[in-house]
Amino acid sequence: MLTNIDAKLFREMIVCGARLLSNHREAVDTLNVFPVPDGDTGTNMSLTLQAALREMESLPEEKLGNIYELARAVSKGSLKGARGNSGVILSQILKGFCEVIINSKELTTKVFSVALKRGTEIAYSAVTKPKEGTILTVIRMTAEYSETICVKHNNFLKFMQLIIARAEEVLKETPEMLPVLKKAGVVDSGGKGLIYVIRGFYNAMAGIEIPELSLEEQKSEEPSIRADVHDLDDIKYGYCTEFFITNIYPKTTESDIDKLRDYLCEIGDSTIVIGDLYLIKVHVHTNNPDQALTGALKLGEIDKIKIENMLQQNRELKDKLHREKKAVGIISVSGGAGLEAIFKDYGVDYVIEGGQTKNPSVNDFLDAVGVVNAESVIILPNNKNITLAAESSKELATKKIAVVPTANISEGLAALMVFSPEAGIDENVVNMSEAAKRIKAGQITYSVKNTSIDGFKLKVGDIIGMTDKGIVAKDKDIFAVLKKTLERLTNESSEVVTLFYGNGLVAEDAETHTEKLREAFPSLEFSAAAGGQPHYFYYISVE
Amino acid sequence: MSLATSNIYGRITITDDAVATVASHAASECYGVAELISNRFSDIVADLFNKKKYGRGIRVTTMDNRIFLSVYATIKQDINEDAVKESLKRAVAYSVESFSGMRVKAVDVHIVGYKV
Repeated sequence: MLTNIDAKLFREMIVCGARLLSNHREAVDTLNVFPVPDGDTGTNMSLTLQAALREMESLPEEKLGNIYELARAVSKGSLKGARGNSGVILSQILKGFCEVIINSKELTTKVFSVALKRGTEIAYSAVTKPKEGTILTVIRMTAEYSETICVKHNNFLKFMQLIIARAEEVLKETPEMLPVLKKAGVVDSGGKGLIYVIRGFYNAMAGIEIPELSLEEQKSEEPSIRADVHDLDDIKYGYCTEFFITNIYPKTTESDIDKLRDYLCEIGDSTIVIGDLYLIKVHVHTNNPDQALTGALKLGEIDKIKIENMLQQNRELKDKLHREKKAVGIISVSGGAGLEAIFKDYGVDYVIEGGQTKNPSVNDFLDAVGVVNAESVIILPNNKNITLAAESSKELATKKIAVVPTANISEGLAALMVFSPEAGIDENVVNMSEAAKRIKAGQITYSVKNTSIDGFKLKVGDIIGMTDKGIVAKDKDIFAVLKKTLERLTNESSEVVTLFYGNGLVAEDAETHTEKLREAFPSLEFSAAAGGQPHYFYYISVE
Repeated sequence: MSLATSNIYGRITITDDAVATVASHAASECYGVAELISNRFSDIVADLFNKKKYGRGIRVTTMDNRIFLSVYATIKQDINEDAVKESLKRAVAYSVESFSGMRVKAVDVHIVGYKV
């Protein structure tokens, strides 16, 4: 049981955090819409952490075994190397985090939670106008949560799992707190980056290796979700200005630093001025970088000046989106991680979580349509109850939408098989609808109430098999129902049967079932895939 | 309360009285100001005994190392009141800020009378 983190593990944590973040920095970049949609959050955060890592690794050998020295190096390195808004905030979180470690005898879950809290405090105090729904919210709520569980859990592995779950939860809520995120259909990018760092920490503790990905490999891991930056408000301040003030004049007081911060707030936003009387880090978005520099020159010498034209970055981002725009994109509805992955493999751009018991709203469709980077969009509702919501989104969306009224997952997949990216939307819709009609689909699930339907008397917990004609089989055993359902679904012209298993079934179960089915139906070809859907043991498609 | 800051050599503390003295001096030199009027009991006592008291007519409040000032003054009649107020504010804020190096957040000017 891991209750205490030593220097070696701490070092490994920073290494893993930096690597995982760097592996996913493209993914984080694409989410970047706040405060300025310039698509560099992931890169900035990653470079900040890399700087901390470099500072730590450059320590002399004898200091590498000392957790206090390591923490000091991380704190200093991240401050010096901090880039961009989220990078600076990350450096402040690390600063507070390391400060607590330096002042503690050992690093237990309790200390870890205090460290998170201190990181939050420092991060909040660095930002002049803290905004909720950002990385700040994610670290704050995670820290608050960790405080409540640290007494109960002194095992780091369990503790970190809970923390990560909480952080993910908060991240999911960020669009509700910050309207601009909701508008762009994304979660906060800085918060996402932070979670990668914490995950990296966890991987180090659990001993999970993180491969170093090349740039191409990173790209291939890309999610197809991109922030929709077209409709966002115009950028108010055009230049991201960052620099250090070093060799500060003796006459400069702390109050002068406060004055500089006030001044920068007047001429811009996203102002961060942090540091002490030896080194000050300044970050501001302004239209007058010259004035920012002039103001800083009164305090000391300026160094490592970086001024980026965010208007240009934003233009390039829009261009890139425009270039990558597809003619036809596809949105599909499904439940379960396995099915989501399968749909994405077959070229679906966005999968909306939903199904029989959870029907997505028109709004969910509109959000999804906004996110998919395509001129027109085909929607596969995969359920009769959802078709109407999908149809309604047609009139409200700005893009052209067509709905292929697939009634279940199997039809949806069949329709996807015939999709051709070269063909136009109308042609595709015709082909896909036909393909969906050709397939025969069935589901195996269980009864949730005592009832009498389609000539069957059902009790709670009975396994039932369904086709488009209603319930066709009932038994206590999954395999028996599966077999009976297939008898009804197949005929002489049937060739291939695909099963998607879910609702608690594991690969071995599906393996034995298909094996037995092969014996029962020697003329048919069987394959099983993990669907991970709730409520349904099997989705069956017969071709 | 007092103000605190530090530079590379060490800590600096500035008392409210010091700030008031500077502000009072700057205010009394302002064109159009006839007299600064005391609103503190201690000033009135000092007046009775005919003692000079610095920082007359100024109330200083400091919070988070920021300065909030109130100026109580009588002004000469038949001149633009707004103009005097405005220049009072600027003069006081500027002199206090450059003297103390601290941030002046507000200067409230109260005209309590006219000198005919």
